[in-house]
Amino acid sequence: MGKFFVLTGCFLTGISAVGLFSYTAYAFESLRMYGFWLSVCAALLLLACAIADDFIAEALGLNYQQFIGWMVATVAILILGGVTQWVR
Amino acid sequence: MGTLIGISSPQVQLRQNRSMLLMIATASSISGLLLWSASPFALNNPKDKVQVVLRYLSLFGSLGCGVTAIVCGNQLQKINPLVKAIETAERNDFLEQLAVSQFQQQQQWYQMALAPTQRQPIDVAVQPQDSPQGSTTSADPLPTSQNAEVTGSEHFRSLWKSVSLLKEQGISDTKIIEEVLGMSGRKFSEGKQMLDALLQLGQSEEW
Repeated sequence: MGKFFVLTGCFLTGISAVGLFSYTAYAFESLRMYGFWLSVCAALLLLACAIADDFIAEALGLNYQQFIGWMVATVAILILGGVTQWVR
Repeated sequence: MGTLIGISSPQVQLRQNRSMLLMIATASSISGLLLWSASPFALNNPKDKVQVVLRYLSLFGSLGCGVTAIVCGNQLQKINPLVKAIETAERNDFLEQLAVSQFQQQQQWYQMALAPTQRQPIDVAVQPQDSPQGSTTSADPLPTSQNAEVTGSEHFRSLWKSVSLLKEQGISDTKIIEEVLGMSGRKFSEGKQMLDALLQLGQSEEW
């Protein structure tokens, strides 16, 4: 039960944080380019993680399956948290 | 007149803390998800300053709810093993009390059965060793308070007998666990373990 709430909390925190950046880029036109470059940085980081997956998994002390699980969860949070806040 | 200060045991306090943490974690998870998912639909005009402020408030609120859920979840992970240990100890106490009360009741029944005749128990030790099986079964010693030494496993033996009888009649394990052992719902898995342990005990003791 405790683990479930920890995971829910992590998910909620992730999508809220990404939503905050995303909505800031949506609501304030002057900040939109920062939002764009932020998403570019996130995409580049994900790309680096995908290329150096073995090395990063070892450095973080995770096995490969756990690393892939965290990657998928991060991408899902970024997509959910970012896109949903653009709904008109 | 109610008491002004209620002193509760550590077990009760632990259970209260657990239910409080569960309540807070559930409430914060649900409200956080609602705040995060409903705000884009309810507050979608970026020109309106009030809506923008409310939108930010909802996003910060869901962030706070997420952090609360993480903290409560961590605390629950610490408390849960303690509560489980308390529940196990209480169940063992209950089973022990049940066995003792059954033993006392059996003793009373034996005494009541012997009271009208006041007959002496037949001593099995004086029976010849080469007597046929039929005669030995009829000459079982009558239990009295002196020779009826019922051990702690007597309760489990009688329980095993009734359970194996029910199994012979084709009653399913689920029904036995729920209706005989009284372990239904969330305690079903514990009941299953108890049933398996009881059957194993019966086999190993050759009852």
